[in-house]
Amino acid sequence: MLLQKRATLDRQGKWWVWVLPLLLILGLFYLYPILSIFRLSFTDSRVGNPNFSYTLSSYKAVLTDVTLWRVLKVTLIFSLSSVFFQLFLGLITALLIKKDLFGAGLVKLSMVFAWVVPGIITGIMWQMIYSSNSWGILNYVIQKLGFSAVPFLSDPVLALTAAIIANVWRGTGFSGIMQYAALCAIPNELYESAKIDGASAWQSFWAITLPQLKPMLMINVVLITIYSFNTYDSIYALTRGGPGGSTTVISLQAYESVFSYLQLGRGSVYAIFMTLLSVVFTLIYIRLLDSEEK
Amino acid sequence: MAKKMLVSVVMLLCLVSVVFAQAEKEDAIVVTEDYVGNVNAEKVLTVAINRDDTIRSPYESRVAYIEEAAMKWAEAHPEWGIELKVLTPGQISQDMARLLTEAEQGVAPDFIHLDSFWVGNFLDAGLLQPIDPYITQADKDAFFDWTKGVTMRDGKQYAIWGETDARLLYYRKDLIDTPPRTWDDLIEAALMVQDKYGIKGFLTPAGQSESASNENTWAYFWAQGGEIFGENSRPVLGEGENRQKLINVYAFMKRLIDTGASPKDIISMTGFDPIMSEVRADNVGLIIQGTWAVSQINDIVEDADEKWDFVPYPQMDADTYANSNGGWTWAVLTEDKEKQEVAMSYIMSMVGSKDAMAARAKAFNYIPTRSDVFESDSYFSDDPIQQRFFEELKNGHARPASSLYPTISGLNARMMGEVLIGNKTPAEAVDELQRLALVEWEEWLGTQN
Repeated sequence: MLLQKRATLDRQGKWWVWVLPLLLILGLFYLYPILSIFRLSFTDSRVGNPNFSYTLSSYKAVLTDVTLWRVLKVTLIFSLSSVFFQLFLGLITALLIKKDLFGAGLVKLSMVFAWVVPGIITGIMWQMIYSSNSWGILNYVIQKLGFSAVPFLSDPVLALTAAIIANVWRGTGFSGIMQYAALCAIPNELYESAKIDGASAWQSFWAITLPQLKPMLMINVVLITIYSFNTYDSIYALTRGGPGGSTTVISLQAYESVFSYLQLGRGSVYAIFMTLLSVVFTLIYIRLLDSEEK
Repeated sequence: MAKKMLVSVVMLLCLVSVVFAQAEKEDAIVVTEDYVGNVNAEKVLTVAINRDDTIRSPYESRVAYIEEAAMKWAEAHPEWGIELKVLTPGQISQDMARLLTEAEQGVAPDFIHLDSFWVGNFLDAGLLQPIDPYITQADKDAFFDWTKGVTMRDGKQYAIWGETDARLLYYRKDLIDTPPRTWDDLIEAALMVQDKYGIKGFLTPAGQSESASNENTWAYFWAQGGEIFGENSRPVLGEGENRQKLINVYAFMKRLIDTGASPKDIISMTGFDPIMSEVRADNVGLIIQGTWAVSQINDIVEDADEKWDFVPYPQMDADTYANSNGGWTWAVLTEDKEKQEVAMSYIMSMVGSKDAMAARAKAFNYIPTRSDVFESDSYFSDDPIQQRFFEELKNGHARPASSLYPTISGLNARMMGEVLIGNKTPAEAVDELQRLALVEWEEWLGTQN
């Protein structure tokens, strides 16, 4: 009945009846906020102050602030390291699970668990691990081994490394599960043929596994990059962007601009930069994939 | 027969309806998680309120106070009801920013629970209503003077400051004979407890957060006579005589780490939890904490009375004192005069009157903001600890009521971080702070007209 009705509407050229709800949802919850952010970025608007004017002052303030370049540097280090390690460790984990070793089911469950844990919880959990206080788990072990406590969260370089490790822990599960699914889809016949031809395990990996995984790897890279650029919750809980701004990524800077300093205009500029970063990196990845396919 | 039966059933139903209607009428005044007052009231107020001022509070004593006091108010105002919109615990910034936006759009609740250091944002935006017609001069005068810098503007009162706190230096009295009075004393005592007892010296939350300012800058800065803002909210904390005063504070904080009086960890501490865990483990000699920590230490440390005591903040000079005081206020947004009056009656009967403040402070373990509560309520006047808090509040300071304050505080936290990790000298950090603060001010000024 419904299909008949649909066919009738299609014949009458009323296809928009089916598309309208989707367009409304996309327009209201995705397009409008993006356009709104874009508009606000060209104002000097502050939260709670109805007086604002259209100006480039927010862009000027952000671009001339020395903080921006440090924030971009931290964001790139954080995101690119996260992408590399999540992909690499995810691949290793997926390959090991595929071997169906003892406990593989438990590992799969743990991977999903890590991924679904909210960022704030991840931050608090890793803070307990890194803390130099008497309850810091990692430092407890380090000190038991006879070394001095390591200021994981008080040293700028160590703090950024700590934030990256926490993010890698969180995202590796997702990356691994995606790659595991792709691995399962590779036909066994390919490996059997390679074996008959005398290919080693390493050669099979390079000639079969990696090329077959490439589309999924590329999707993974794009998703991890976007997730990493948008990560602020776990860093907020772990270091609040400190010490001395050494772990302030662009999403955290946008959050701080709006909710701490009430600078809606500048927060929107940072949000626009975040979007641009994600778009640019996604385009680079797609370009790389296309060129290799050709 | 059947007709008789039908009549009987109808009569019974009528009787039951009357009984239920009567019961409903009697039960119309309620204090629930989301509502206070007459459920059938046609006049309804709305309030954005902290969870702990509703019966959602996890503390029994608070729930008991709210149930009793709110019911008393509701019975005295049978034609009114109040819808409670509970703020999310732990999300002050987001909630305050949301309320500010709602108020700007004209859709905010009629009255709100407002963090004291956000009052300036609402005042600068012209969103708060004066409450002078609804409070007596005697009530106004009873509040500590430092609260008035926030709650009053141009001679009018805009908020009731419900409770406060003070920052203190807690020390191990069983290990330290003479409590530190100056920064030098503090460093000496911290090094002594480390060397002699093998525990951490001095802990304070100096991480990148409001604590860097509220716990580690302003009290030291104000005690030297420093000022954050000049006229028209122009930041002056890094210029003129203030410059050296702020440099002194940054240099002191750096000395704490350089001398080893504090571990480097303090750079990553953004709250008190890690400090209290060390207190519990008997692993620290001196800490910065709030007045609320007295009961916490009693709860988590065995023989706390014999181990811990508190003194005023250590300062650069022994004869100077200052404190930084926080807390929450209550303010009215509605322009409807009748609603304003009723909202204020709720605020005063739950929080702001002398009796309400005393009762609430006891039930909530809060510190009152009215000096007459400390002077004449025996719970406070006869308790030596409360009287020491009272002395501290006499040196109280509130963070300035300017919407530019959060920006300046954030810049200060950032610059202190730069000093503590060794990226900048104290003088470089103060100069950079002043430069950035003026840039922010100029932009802010443009949006204020």
